Amino acid sequence: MDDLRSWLTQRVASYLGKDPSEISPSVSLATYGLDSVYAFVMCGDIEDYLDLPIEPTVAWDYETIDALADHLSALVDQR
Amino acid sequence: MTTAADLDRVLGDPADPRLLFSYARLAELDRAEEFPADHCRELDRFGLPAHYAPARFGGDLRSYPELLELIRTVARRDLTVAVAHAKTFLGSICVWLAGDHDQAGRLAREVRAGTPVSWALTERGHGSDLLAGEVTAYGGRLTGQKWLINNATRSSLLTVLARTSRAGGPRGFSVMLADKRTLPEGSYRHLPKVPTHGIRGADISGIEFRDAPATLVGEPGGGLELVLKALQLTRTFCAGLSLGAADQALRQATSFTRNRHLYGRRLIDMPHVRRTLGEAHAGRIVAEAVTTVAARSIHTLPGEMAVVSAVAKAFVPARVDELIAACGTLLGARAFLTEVLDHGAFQKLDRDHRVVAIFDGSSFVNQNTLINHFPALARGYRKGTVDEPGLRRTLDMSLPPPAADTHELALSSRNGSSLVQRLRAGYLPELPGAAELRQACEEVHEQLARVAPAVRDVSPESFALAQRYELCFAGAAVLGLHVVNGGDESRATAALAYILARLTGRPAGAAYDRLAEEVLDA
Amino acid sequence: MPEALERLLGDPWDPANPLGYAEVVAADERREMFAAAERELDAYGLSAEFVPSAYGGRLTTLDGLVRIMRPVWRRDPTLGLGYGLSSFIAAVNVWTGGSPDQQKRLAEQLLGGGRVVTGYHELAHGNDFARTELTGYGRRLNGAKEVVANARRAESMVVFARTSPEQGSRSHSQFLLSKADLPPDRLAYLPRFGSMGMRGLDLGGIVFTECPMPADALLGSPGEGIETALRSFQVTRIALPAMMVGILDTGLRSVLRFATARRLYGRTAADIPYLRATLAGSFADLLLCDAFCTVAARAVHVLPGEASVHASLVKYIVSKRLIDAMDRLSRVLGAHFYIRQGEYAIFQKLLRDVSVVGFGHAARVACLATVLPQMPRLARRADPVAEGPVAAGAVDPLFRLGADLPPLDFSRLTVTSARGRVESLSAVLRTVAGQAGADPELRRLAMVFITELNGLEADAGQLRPRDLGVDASPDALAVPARFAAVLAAGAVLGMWWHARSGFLADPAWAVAALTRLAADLGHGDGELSGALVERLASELVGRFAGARAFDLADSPVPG
Repeated sequence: MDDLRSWLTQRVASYLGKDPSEISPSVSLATYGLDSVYAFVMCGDIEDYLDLPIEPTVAWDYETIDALADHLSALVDQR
Repeated sequence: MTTAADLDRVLGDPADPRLLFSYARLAELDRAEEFPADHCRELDRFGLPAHYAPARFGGDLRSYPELLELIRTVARRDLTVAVAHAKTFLGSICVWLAGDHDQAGRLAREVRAGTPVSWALTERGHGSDLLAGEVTAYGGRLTGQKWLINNATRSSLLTVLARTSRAGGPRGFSVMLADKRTLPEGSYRHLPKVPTHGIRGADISGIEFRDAPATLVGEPGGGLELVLKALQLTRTFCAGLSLGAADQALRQATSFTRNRHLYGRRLIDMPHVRRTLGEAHAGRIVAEAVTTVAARSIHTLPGEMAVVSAVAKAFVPARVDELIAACGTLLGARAFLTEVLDHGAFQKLDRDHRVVAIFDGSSFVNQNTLINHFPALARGYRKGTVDEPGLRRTLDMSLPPPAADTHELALSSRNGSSLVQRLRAGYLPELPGAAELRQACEEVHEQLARVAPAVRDVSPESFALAQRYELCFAGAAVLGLHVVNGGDESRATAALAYILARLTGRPAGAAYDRLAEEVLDA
Repeated sequence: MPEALERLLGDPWDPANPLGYAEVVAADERREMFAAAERELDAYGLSAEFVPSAYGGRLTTLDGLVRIMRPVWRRDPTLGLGYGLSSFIAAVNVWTGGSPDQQKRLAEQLLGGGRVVTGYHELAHGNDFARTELTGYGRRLNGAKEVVANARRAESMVVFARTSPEQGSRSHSQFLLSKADLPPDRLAYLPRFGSMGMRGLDLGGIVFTECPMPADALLGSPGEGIETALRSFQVTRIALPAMMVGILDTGLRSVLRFATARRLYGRTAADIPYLRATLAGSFADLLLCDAFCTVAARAVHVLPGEASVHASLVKYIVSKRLIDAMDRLSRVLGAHFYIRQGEYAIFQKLLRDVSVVGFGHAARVACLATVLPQMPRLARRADPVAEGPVAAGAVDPLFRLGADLPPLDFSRLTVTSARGRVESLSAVLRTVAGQAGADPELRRLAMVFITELNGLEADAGQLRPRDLGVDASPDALAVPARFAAVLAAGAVLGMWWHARSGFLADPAWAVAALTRLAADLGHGDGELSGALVERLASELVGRFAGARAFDLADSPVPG
């Protein structure tokens, strides 16, 4: 779970060209200027990482890294 | 049920000025910037609107490729009329995709009866950035301005993308259906017709709502998702408009060069003219292959439509713009004068067609979609992921497409593109250029895999790469259709040559000349 | 002075300026010439720019005339063609082939604010003007000329007519006619031709019926019509595209206004890398067009014997570059390029207007066909019959903006290049390339063109006489097309090499221009590297903010 959170933080930081320490997991990703299309990029990355099919809208429905990590780990557990 | 051939008969001889759909009458409307109302009524009488509504809701739409052929037939005669009439299809798609059965059934009856439906997406100052939209629908009541909307004024019904949560964001918008005929006095007003470069007769205007009641289409907050899926259909549909324009441009260029004498010869017999016409014909074959695959994929590979429709929209209108320009060089001054040669049909077509590239997302927007898919495309290619039955039914023209299940549309194509990925392991026909295409495809995918996802600063190189991917897709479409259906080798060879000339710089002249011999001297 | 003309026309973007873009667009919508600007140009005495100084006018150099006319073309191409170029095209025939009396007569008319038009065009024959049907047997004109700008308004005209039934190139003559000297009942006008672009232009036609001509109307000797026309084209085929470079300036400026004002996905559009690359690429196109036009215009003075090749190849290269650049810019504007109202409405007008450069005054393929027969001479560079090499330093003034030039001598223009010499510009390529050492990328690109030139010399040697006629294959026509790219590269390198300071001395623009041209030859895709994009985009944005022209002259513009 923490692994997933820190991996997501790193991915988001790399999309933005920032240091992971600048990214808070509890802040809405839109605040960082990540618009709706980034979800498609992120979706592919998550699928590769977790080997799990993901709808790109998950990042619309779970707007923070925390919320996303919770949701994804629940999906992983269900598998 | 009506077919494209029936429709063409209804349109009649374009050279007969007494007919509604003649070059003369259409040019007159363009000059006067007048809406082709009589023409639309004639298409209504013919029964075209029924084809805009799916059969399961009571319409005649069973096959998207057939619908595309109908639209191509109208566009071939006149793009302004096609744009003005077919807007109803675009306006109602959201309801077909997400509306409940009652809502969709009611709308289908309206559409059949010829009620114009419009699709209000864009707003002044925001262009293609839908999430910046300021029109709101709090409590089910629309307020704000939609601008540069096709048929905003003439439509009775509109589907409107509106903000339903103050925070906005991808879940902050919903699609609403408004019926002007039942709206209270003063709750809306039309914004004036905007004069445009082409499609001068079309009703490109706007609408301002003030506390206007409207009904929700689909899920609250589901607006962006719904619109993005609807765009996958409309972007494919735009390729049909382009093909119609390509038909007319080639017709004009061929008949002009056939009848014109210069330096004591027919223009069409001069080698450089034949080369130009050969390339234009090859371009149309390629555009047609992409469009055919895209329209059939709605039925057979709906989950891949995010990629397929982005390719179709980024690729086909741009190639047809090129084709029109090339035909224009053959017409010379006649491509510029507004009254000579079929009443200036060519210059009208040139202006009209330029709108197709900006409708429903520009090449920039569609190539962005492809760039976002690079990781998925690279992965799919590496693994050789192919939906074999889906691809087979896409390519086999002897089979009618299965019923479309639009619930399978997805915002991104997880598996990339079966068509392109099949190239990797697929059987290659003995067609000149086939092996080179596969090689180029390998290289493009190696490059795709190396692009790091970027959210903001998408590099110009990524756009160039997206264009190369489009060419791979087009090549796979030409090859795939040829392998499964057989057919004329010189056509497929010239089409492949056209693609390879742009992918690898391989000279294509000889293939164009052979194609010209076949199509011009037949 | 171009600056004086710009000041006279004022800030084009100011909606209150009666000479601004809002009024340019309004006149286009009404299908009228831009009358307010015409009055200003009358007052300025613009027509004097078309008259050689020997006859009391201000025409001294072709390059200078182009620069004077750029502000007009930046403002309104319809005005550029309708007010300026159409008179100039006609007048050049008289400066080239007329007697001193005829020249004096025309000079007086132009200096008095009069207009002169040419009648070459008959729709049925297009560029094949030798098939002209209008006849001038026995000093009587019979027939029609079509699609003639200002047919009604002009006081005089130069008419191209068949004067002998024989086949061949000595069967046509040109006549300079004042309408006042013709019986009005023998002259009729055709209805106006509507046009997609330059809608305000009065495109008409003239029909002559047994129209008698005065004895002194003939230009030169009987049968010199084709020769005079071909010699005149060498000036006007350079002038048309060179002036039209002004369209791309305004096109770019419109897009910059749009892109810097507009916020898209949370920032200005001008910051989006893809759009910056498009802007930088179009700027490189503009610079390379201007470099080729400028060098060719100056070469008319220095190397008039080679002008036949330069003029056709300038027309070939520049016309397509301008049209393509405007098309690419239209895509940056999105829906705004499609709207005929509002702040950016000027763009859609320019997009329609620019298409004239493609077919107007000879189609691109006709330009190649003109040069093709001269190509075999390229292979015989060492031919002892040919003149010796151009003296060292003799060609330097070609590349130095503002350097003194020998006078413009219309009598030295020849139908084909003098004694087969076509290679002075390409020779410059070889010289400069050897000295481009400071910048490895520039050297690499220069080598691309030298290799191409070497290959061309070989390919040109393979051309047989039957490859060179009107039936020429596309592969044969590719030889002059490739040579055009080589000459343009020579012009760019020469301009860079001779620049002493400032932006033009920076190899960046030359590398960018050569990168674009190399793509025409199948080398690369013409896209600029990130560093080049930044260098060119920052220069462009700087000039935009500082209200300076985007061409080589970098002169102030209002706004």
